[in-house]
Amino acid sequence: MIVKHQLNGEVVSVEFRVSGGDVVYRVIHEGRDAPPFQTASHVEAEPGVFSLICGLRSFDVRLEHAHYGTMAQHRSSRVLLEPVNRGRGRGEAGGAASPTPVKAAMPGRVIRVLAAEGESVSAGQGLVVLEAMKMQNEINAPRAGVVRHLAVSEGAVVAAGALLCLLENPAE
Amino acid sequence: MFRKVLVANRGEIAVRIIRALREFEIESVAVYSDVDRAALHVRMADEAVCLGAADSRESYLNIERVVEAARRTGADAVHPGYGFLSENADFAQACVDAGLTFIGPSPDTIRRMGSKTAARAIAREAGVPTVPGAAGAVSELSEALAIAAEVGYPVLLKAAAGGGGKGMRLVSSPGEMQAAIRDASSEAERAFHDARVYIEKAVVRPRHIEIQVLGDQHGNLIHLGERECSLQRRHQKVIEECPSPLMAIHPELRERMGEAACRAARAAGYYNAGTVEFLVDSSLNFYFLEMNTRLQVEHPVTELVTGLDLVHQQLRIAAGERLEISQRDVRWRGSAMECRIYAEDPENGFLPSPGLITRLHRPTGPGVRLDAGVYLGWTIPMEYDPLVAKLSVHAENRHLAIARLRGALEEYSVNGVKTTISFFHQILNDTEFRAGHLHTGFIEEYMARRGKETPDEKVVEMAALAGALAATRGNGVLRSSGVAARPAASRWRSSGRARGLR
Repeated sequence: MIVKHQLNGEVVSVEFRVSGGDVVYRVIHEGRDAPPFQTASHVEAEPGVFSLICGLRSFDVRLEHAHYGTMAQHRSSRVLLEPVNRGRGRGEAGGAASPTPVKAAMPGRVIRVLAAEGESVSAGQGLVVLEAMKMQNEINAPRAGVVRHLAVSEGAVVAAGALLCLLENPAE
Repeated sequence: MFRKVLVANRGEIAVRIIRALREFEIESVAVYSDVDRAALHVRMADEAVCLGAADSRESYLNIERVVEAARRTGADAVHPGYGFLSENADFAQACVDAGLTFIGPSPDTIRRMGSKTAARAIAREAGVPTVPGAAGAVSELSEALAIAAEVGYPVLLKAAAGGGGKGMRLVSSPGEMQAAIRDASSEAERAFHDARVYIEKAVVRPRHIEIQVLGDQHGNLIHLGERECSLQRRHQKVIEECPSPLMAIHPELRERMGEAACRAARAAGYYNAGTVEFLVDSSLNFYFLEMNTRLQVEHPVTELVTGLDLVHQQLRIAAGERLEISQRDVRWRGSAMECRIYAEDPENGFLPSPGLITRLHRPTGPGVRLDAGVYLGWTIPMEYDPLVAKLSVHAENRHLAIARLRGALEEYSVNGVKTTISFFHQILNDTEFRAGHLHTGFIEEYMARRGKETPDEKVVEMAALAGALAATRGNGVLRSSGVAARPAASRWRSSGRARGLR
C-alpha cells in the first residue's frame, strides 16, 4: 500500500505492507532514491496513538487530526503531515487592484466595530476588536482602502479565519 | 471549623479548593454558569447551584446571585479563589452582611490594597520602596502626558482595580498615550467594572518576584518566601519557581524582601493568605508593585517547597485559628517550578484556542503535581480565562526540577485545542533560562532568537508511517476513538448558531 503525505512542502510516500504485528515499510522522499524496506513492530496502543519499535528504538506517535492536516508527535517532536496538493501553487490571485479580505485572526466575539461600511481607512488602522477568553485582539487594516462588505456587527461570534470585511481601492 | 463552604469560582482553582474542603470533611458547594454545567468543579462538588448566563456579569461576577446561592445551600463560608470576585471588597462585605465568613482578608483591607494607588501609598508609608509614578488614577490625556514627562518614558498604564495584566499598556512616546488610555480603560472596565487607570515608570528588564505572606486574625504574620514569576507573556505569568535563581546567588534578598512584604501587609491590617509583588532591577533594588489579597494561581510552587497547604491555612485562619507556625519554622526544601498550560496557540501570538478536548493524557510520576479543571470530552468555553491546567514539579535542585518538568511535558498530551505545552518544553531547554537569567521581557526576546526545532530523521519517518497506518485502517484518526474530529471553525459556527436560537 502507498500513502502520500506532504511534509514541509515535500511529498513523502510511505510504501508499506502489514503482516500481523509487523509492518514492512519504506519512506520515499520525492526526488530521492528509495531506501531499502525495513520492518517495524506496530500497535495502536490507544486510539490515535501508535507504538512503533524499529530496530530497538521505541516510538510513541500520537496523531491529532485537524482541518489543516495531521499533527504527529513523538515526545516533544512534532511533524505536520499535510494532505498532498494542499497549499501547492496556491498563491493569492490578483494584485493590488483586487479587494483584500480581512479575516479574524482568532475565534471570538466582536466587541467593537471601529470602521463603517464605505469608510476610507489607512494601513494599520483598527477595523474590528475581537475578544475571546478575556483577551482583546484588534484587527487592523493590512493596507489602505475603502471598507466594503462589512460582514460583522458588535456581539457577533466569529470563527478563526472568518471574513470580517473587504478592502477595496478608493477608485473602484 | 466550617460545615459547608461555597466556592465562588470555576476551573482548576475551584477543583483545588474542593479537594482541600474534602480533606477537612467540609461540604462543598459549586456555582456555575450555563456553559459550565458539565464542568469538573460542578461534578466534584457536593452541591451545585446555577448562577446564570455564560457572561461572567450574569454568573461568576454577580454578587447577589453568589450570596443567594450560599444562603440557599446553607453554606457558612465562601472561598473566592482567584480572579472573578476574589478581590472585590463589595463582595466580601456582602458575604459578611449575609452572615457568611469570607475566606480572605477583611473587606476594608481588600478595599485599601485592591486599589493599586492606595496600596502604593500604604507601602510607601510603611517604608517599602515603590516604582515612581502618579499618586492617583488619571483620566485626562493632558494629565497623563504631564506625569509621563515627569517620570520619563517608557511608562506603564495600569488598571487601578486590576491584576493579571488586564487593562495594562506600555507607552513609549506621547503619541501612543491617547489610544493606550482608551484601550486600557475599556479593558479594565470589562474585566473589573472599573475603568480607572494609573501611570508608573516602566522599570527596564526587571525581574518579577513576589512574596507569599500568611497572617492570622490575632496579629501573627509570616512570609513563606518568594516565587520568581518573571516569565510572562502579555504581562501574565507563565512559569513560576521557588527559589528564585536570584535568591540562590543572593540569599539575603529573601529575608529583606520577606521582611518588607510583611511590613506592607501589616500596615494594611492583613490577615489570611496574600501576596506582595515586587519588581527587582539589575542592581537588586526592589519596588513594591501591588498586593494580591487572595490565593495566587501559582501557590503550588510555595506549597511544594515549604510543605504547607495554603488552602488549609486559609480555612484555619478564616475560622479564627492561630497560625501554628512561626517565621523560624518555615523551611524551604529543594526546588519547585510550575508552568501554566493555556489553551492558546504559541505559534500564533498566543491567540486563544477554546474548544473540545478530543484526547487527554496526563503526566504523572514522582514530584509531579497537576492542577487541572478539564477532562476528555470537555469543551473549554470561549467566555473565560484560557488556563487549562497548572503543571508543577518538585525536585532536589533547579537543574533536576527543569528535567522533571520537561519529562512531564513530554508525557502531557492535549488534543482538540492548541496549548502551550510544547512551547514550555522548548523554553525550558533554553540556555538563558537554564542559567536563570530571567526578566519580564524574557519571552519576547526568546521568541525572536529561538531556532526552529527540527525532529531527527527517524522520528519523521515514524511519524509518516504512523500517519499512513492510521489513514488506511478504515477510519479517520479520531473517529475511531468515538470522538468526532471537526475543525475548530465549525464548532464556533455551531456555538454561534445556538446562541442565536436562544
